[in-house]
Amino acid sequence: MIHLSHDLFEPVVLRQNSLSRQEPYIKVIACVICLLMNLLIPHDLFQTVLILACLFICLSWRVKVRYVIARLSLPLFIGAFLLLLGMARLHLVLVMLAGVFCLSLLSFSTPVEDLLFSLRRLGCPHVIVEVMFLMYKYIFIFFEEADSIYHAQAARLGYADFKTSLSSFGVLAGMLLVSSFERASACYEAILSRGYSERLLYSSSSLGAKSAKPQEGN
Amino acid sequence: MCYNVFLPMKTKVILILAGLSVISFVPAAYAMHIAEGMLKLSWCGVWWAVCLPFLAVGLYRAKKMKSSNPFYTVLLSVMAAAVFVFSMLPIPVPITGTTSHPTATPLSGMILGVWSTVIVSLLSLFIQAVFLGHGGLSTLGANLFSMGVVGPSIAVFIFYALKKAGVFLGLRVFISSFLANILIYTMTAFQLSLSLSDSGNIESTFAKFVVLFMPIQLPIAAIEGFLAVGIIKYIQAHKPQIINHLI
Repeated sequence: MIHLSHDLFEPVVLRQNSLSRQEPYIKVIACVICLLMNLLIPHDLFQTVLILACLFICLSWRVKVRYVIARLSLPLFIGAFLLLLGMARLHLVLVMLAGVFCLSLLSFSTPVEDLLFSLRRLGCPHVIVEVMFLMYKYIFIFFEEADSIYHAQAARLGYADFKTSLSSFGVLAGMLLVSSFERASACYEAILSRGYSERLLYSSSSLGAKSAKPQEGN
Repeated sequence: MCYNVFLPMKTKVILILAGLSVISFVPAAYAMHIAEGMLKLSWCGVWWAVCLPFLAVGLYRAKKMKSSNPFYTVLLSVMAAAVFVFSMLPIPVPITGTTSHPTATPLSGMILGVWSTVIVSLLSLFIQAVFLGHGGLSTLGANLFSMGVVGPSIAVFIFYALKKAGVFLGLRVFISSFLANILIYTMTAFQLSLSLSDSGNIESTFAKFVVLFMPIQLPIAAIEGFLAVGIIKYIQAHKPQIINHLI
């Protein structure tokens, strides 16, 4: 399962396509407009066109089918489940698919740094952007750490039966939390020694020389 | 397994995998966050509006804490990453043979406080929505209300009520995260049934959701409670200064 989460993150890293060098905040605005229209227009035709367009763009970017399926499996299963129970109509499933597809296109074409940069530009509070920036850096470290702790425990019969797997999972989560607090203090000292006083300075990574210099974005 | 030797190996594997995937998506359909497009636009607006005051207070406090103690930003971000990773780790469920994931926000509410947890869950929900396709931008308000506002505040309320009654730490943590988990998913069922029921049959839709999913959700909530106790016990043994205010 932990490997699976690595898999899900992978397309975030390999992104070179026709939209990846566009202004990120325009992409965010376009995505939000698409989502709003998706919710507002009650005709199946619109959602179908949106899904087909997204599919076409994905195909033209040569995104691996596995990533697309990984993104769409959840809404598909929820939709099928609700349809079976008679709680929803087909329209809802189409809306869900189109929405998730739009969001996937945004994430397939925009690195996190650019997304945060654009959020800052669109007026998101500084605290949130800064915390999200640091958080995103930590996620990968934590996955690696959780992975190695998990394998160490499994090699020592940690997940042998249900009872031990509960207790080993508790130890795993506790270790992650404790080490995260230690990491937080180390990180704090590191950024403090590099001149951190009020706010982080970050730059957009993929936009070329025009905006590659650090911007304060106040 | 000697009773199904007549099937070829490949068929058996495929059958088992198919069965497992069908069973494991039954709670997944419910235990995940509300997906993008599942709520009507009006309800999305309502839940965003409900969340806004909590977000405003959380932001105000985060800004104040940050100016008095710059370490707070780093602490918040590490905690958000930890919540994100926890909510993607699998928990074994004994009855259905499936895995589910802990919500982790009740625990974060107990350790960091309710207002910081609003920010923490906003961030981890946002990243999950955009980069993993769990949840969505329009339903972020609804998810934030159930996971980031209702869960931690109920957990903290029960925790301190039990502390006054003199219950010991492990039981307190267990009861509060168990009840908070149940309440989070009841809240999600309520939000779903408000939007999905066309007119007038809100109660029946809500009852359908609760009756179908509570038998699966109860053991998951119990497991989350046990895990929270394990985490707190580990922290108490190895770094007690983090949870000094809880004891």
